[in-house]
Amino acid sequence: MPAFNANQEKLEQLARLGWYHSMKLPDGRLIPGFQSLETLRNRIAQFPVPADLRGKRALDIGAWDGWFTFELERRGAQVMAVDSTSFERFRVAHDLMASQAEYRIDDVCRLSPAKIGYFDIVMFLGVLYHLKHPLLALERVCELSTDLACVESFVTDDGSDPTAKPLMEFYETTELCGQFDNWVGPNTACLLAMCRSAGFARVRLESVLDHRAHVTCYRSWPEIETAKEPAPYLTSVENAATRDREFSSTDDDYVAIWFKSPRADLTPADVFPRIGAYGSHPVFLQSTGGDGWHVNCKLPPGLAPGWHAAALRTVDSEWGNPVRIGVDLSAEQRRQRPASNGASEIQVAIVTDGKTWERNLIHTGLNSCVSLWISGLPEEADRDGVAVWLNGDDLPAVFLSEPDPQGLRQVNAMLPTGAQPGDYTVSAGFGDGVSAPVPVRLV
Amino acid sequence: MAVERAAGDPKFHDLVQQQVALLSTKGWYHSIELPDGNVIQGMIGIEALKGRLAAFPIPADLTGKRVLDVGAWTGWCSFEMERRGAQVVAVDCIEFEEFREAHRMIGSKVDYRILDVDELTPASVGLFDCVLFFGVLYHLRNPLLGLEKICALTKDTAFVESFVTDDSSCTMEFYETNELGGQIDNWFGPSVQCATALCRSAGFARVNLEYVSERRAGITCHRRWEPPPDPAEPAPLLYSAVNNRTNDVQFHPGKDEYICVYFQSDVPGLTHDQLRLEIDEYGAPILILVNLRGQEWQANLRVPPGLGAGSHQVRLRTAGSAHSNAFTIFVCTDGALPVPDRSRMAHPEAITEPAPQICEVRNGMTESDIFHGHRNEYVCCRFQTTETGLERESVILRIDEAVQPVLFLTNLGNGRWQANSRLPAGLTPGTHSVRIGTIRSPLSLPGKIMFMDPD
Repeated sequence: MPAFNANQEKLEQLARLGWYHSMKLPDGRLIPGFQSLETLRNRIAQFPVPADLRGKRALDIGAWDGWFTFELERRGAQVMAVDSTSFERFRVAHDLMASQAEYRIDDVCRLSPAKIGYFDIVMFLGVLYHLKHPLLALERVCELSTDLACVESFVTDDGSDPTAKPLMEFYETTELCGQFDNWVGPNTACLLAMCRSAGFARVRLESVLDHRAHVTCYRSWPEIETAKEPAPYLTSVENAATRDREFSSTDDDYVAIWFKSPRADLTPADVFPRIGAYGSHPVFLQSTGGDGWHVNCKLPPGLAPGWHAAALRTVDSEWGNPVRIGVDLSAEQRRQRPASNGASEIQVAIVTDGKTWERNLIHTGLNSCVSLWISGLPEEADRDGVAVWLNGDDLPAVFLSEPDPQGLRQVNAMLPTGAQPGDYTVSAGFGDGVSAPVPVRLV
Repeated sequence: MAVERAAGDPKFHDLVQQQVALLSTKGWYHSIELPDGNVIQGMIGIEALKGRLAAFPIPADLTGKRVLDVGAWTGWCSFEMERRGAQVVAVDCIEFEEFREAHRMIGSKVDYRILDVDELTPASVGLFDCVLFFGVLYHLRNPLLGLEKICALTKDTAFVESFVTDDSSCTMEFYETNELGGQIDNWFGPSVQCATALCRSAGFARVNLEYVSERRAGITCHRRWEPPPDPAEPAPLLYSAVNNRTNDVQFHPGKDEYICVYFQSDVPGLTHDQLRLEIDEYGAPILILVNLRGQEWQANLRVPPGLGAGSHQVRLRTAGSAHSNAFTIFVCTDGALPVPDRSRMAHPEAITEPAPQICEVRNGMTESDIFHGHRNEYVCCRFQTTETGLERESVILRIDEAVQPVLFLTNLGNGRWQANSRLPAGLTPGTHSVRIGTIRSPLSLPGKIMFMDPD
């Protein structure tokens, strides 16, 4: 749609409509708003938003009159603007600017990648404290962003006390500024903690100006230039609650990673877990004895359904060995195995109940487990590459032993809680190699 | 600010860790009384469990009631509710073998379901007379969302028990990792004031703090107002109840929307705590109350959780008055709002009333008679009629030849009414006629509006 030639009288009329953002039009004229151009430029300048956004997708949540939308578009981004209610001023400005930005009316907590896709950069300015579920909204923002999110919010303090405990005021009615659309007021420490908790890998406080905190949230860890310490070795990765390798993007799932590192003095700040392309900061770290460690991190929001590589590095190391985990797997994806890397003839020598060691007989119920002794696995086979099937359905392998003197390796796999008694077959595989099925009875 | 904080308090941390260690050796959290008189000793004794329950006004006889126990754990509360005659659903986020064992030993009929609080909806578990929500709130990442879910399931009363902080203001502590008691499954610690405010904000009409003891609080949350007294004050007159974003009577399922209520009350100096607003039988707390002029007031409230699709009646009273008239709002998706039956107006024999008279037609945004086709503009038609008891669906508003759905109707008193509608699409610049009628009357003489293209 071509920009219409606005006359001065109309601009004044629009100004009377009550603009919040000032707007500089393509012909050089200005719609004066409550916030001056200088104020608006200063707000965006608090964040490391690149001057050149060509080829990037940007999302402006809480667009209001649209200054930030049009500014991101001016920098070359393909922009979507979202607001909870339709603003006529946005639409007028959109026409005046001949903007291509898409305008969408939706609540932030109802946005999802399935609806609107992913964005390299998400602007989330002046919205958080208007929301009743601030952490949920930050999770949505995190889920939608692939690179960084710029979060600006009212805070109750000036951010100068680094020891402040995270605390959030709750406004039941009009306590904050007489407006009933303000719900929460976090202090700066709480805002930063919630941004981390939402799933961002790195969170940086840029500034606090007049009770407005500016926080840049990154989805990935920085890459190091040269490694000064050996990479950690991942021995096991599993869902911290269900103890298998499958995760649900809607369940606030945590990833438990066991690894070996020569560093004896690791703290959570030294450990950098990564799932797919997204970093996730540790919520729990403990030594398991020797050079063994156990770290838990949140499954980062926004991972597409399918298999993703979990990896880890320590502060000065390269990334360690990747281990596959599944997110929101379809039955088809669950059966997908890694490409062959030269498996030899695989045979299941023995099948027992994982607890009672009864042969070819497995007790169903909670924590029901099957143990297999397998020959023919290649030396480099790892737990996550080994597949165990019950009547063709994938069972997560939770343990893989080193070879015993006969060359047999023990694999343990969990049975589904709801497995029904009856006659089944168990088979094992690695790469393209699949063993012959072995009969078992579930009781 | 906090005088003493549980998070970072080594004594509190040690206490929780001792409990965790004890639990890992015992296995049973709640003690359980078996039908043969034996007791399985859990971490929490029978007396403590009875004491906690007794702090809430839960009826001794729950025959015929449906009760939901959220966060049932070993199940003592579920089995106690069943013992009192209720039909019980117990919910937990993970399955406890001990619950199943106790269930079997007691011969219980409690329906045990493994669901997250987020998954609890009237569709998944139904509605309940009473809901127990013990020891769950501070484990939720979105505590207010959790309480909204609980409110949506509650027909009458919810009993909420939670960890609370000592802060004397309305705040929540946020626990990023294991700050509270060394456990990573604690997210928010509300102050007492905040816990009660959250319950009201979730949509409960009345919230009563039962006790605060040893960093735990018990709160009773009622969905209904107390029964009205013998009226001592005149009942208010309800003009309208509209969506504060769109100024019409339509509300969208699942959205966070607010009702703007306009009413007249003769009670001088009316305050928040005197107002009793309700949608159907559910009371709802108000967020703001503004005196517009004289006896005319505006109150805003959030659409209470759990309203299904369809029409709902908004009413209000003051603490000492009878109920006002009812005003109908709709919960439906766009395009599903019921509109007048046009076939009825086509029959001349249906016309029994004289035509209304238009007093004025205005742009609801600017109060002028000029329209630009802006998205939020609405037509506001004020008219006079001798008909009484008009309803939104019996009023017809026509712009040129196009019948427009009446989105809003209010009685202004003395035979004056106001009907709002949207503009039809594709209006050409110039003047257009607006006529109003009812399903029992002819259309009025036309009023005029002016349409000016934005460019």
